[in-house]
Amino acid sequence: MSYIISFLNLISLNLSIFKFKLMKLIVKGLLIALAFSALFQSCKPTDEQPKTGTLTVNFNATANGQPLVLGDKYTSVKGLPYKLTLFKFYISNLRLYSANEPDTILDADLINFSTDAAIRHTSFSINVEPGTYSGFSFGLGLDSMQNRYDPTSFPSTSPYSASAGTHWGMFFMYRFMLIEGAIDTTDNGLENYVLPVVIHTGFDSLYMTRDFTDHTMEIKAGQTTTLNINFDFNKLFYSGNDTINLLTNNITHTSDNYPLAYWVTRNFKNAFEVGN
Amino acid sequence: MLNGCGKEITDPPEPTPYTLAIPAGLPQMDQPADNGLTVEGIALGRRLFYDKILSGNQTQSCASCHKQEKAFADGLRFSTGIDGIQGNRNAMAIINLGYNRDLFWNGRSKTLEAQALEPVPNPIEMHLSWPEAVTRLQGDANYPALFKKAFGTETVDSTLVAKALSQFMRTIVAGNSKFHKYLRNETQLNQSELNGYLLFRNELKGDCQHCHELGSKLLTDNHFLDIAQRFHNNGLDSIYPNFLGLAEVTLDPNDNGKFKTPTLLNIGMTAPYMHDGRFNTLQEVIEHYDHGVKVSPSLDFFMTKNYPDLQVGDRRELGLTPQEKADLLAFLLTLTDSTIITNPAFSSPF
Repeated sequence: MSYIISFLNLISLNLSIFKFKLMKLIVKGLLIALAFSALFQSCKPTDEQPKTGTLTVNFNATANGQPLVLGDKYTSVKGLPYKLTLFKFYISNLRLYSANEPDTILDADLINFSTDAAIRHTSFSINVEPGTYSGFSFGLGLDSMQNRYDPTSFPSTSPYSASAGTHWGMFFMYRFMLIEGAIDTTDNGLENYVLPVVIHTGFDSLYMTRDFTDHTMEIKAGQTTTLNINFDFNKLFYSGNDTINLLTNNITHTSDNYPLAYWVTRNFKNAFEVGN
Repeated sequence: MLNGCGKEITDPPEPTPYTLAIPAGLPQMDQPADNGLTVEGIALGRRLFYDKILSGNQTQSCASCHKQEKAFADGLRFSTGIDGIQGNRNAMAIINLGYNRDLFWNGRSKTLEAQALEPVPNPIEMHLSWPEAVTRLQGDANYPALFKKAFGTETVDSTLVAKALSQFMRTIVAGNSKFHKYLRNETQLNQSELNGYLLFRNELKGDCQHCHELGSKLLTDNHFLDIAQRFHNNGLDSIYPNFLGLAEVTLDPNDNGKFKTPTLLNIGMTAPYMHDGRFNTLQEVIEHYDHGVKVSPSLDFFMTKNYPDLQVGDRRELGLTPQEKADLLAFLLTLTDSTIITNPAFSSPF
């Protein structure tokens, strides 16, 4: 009997030891799990900080002091009433200047002043490294490499796509700027917009760059900085003493009337101003 | 154990996504988010396209006016509906419609799905109300199961019919013509065809490419985003007593006589030509552009940009030589993709 009791005590003792060891093992396991958890937690920031800021660029067009709206009536510098039906242009190679090499933050975009909200595109936003930038520049049009892209290689959402309506089948290059509208030559109140204005510019030689080297911008992480680029549409047709007479010089597809394409492009480049 | 006691309930299998084979050199085609292509949807659409069940007296189907052997046009000036009434528009060829942003000559439908809803109830076409059409399809021995396979429901409605028809129409893609093969360096054009190609691109001569755009290789501009670039008055008439063309939709007289630019792909197979089928041959079309373009206030400026002295009512004289006209015709005939008329995937399933 005593053997049996001793045996049972032994079992009980062993069980107690086993339970103790088991508990110890569980606690140990929990501690290890907690340690690992803490380790992984420490690798993951508890409050993620944004690493970039946002630069929003707005292109704002006016004519006669009013916002430019396709279909609305405006008066040219020469006093001619006109309406626009189409106005879009490429900007490309947007660069920010800092102490380092200029940083290209945008390859290209197609600015479109359509009244159709689905395709109107006068503004875009880009993620930018935080810092102080001393200025910026951008191209009006596309550079020679971009100008030779195949539009069928791009989805319809791309500014280079065939859907953009900018590709020039006759040259297999892009049109940089499309202005279409008409002038009321009689201006007698009958709204006879009979004289077309069609300005399609292209060709590598009309790719022009506009620099704003002294416009300081502070881009802060997690914040949005707005850059307003304004222009007076009428300035596309005059610069100082040089005014284009749209009554007689109203159409260019660049190859057929290069001077007009050049003047409008040059004037447009110079018309850009940085606004508030 | 509990599962074993009850009858197993399973969802219908998902329709099988279908990847459209786009000929090399053409842009990718956008698909609507709520009607992506599926094997089952296309099969259902093909069956519906050829089924006369969708016409009032069950004598016509979509294929009656869009015949595969005619490159999905019908070869007639105007098509005749089930009641013997003729329309006043030439049936457009169903080619590359998945790229288009406007359907019908006047662009009154903006999606293929919206377009597909029109011919069935139209009294001068198939003349069957949608409720009646749906009742017929619902009571058919085959259709409810086919709708279930395609859309996960046996309940037929007009929206699903339009979706299925649209899926089938999106698969009818042309882009393997001799001209496309030439652009891919797979073949050569002969001298006359090459001369015609140059005339087609020449701003001072044919200047066709402004509307029949080359960059996309789609030979139309109806994929452009801006509506101002998608409709044109090509000088067929100088007077418009009523709103005509795009003006029927916009009610803007400046849009009078403006029509959607049809693709020139397979143009050699889709006579007669223009919205009212007034030209029987491509030669007549070329003659029109050579000396028949009539000046009107809404005439496209591309037509007169080299002729600043033309007045309303005048006709433009391009002055193409007989050889130039022959070359232009030779080039237009290189735009035929005959796989459209032979591809069994586009043929009747009946």
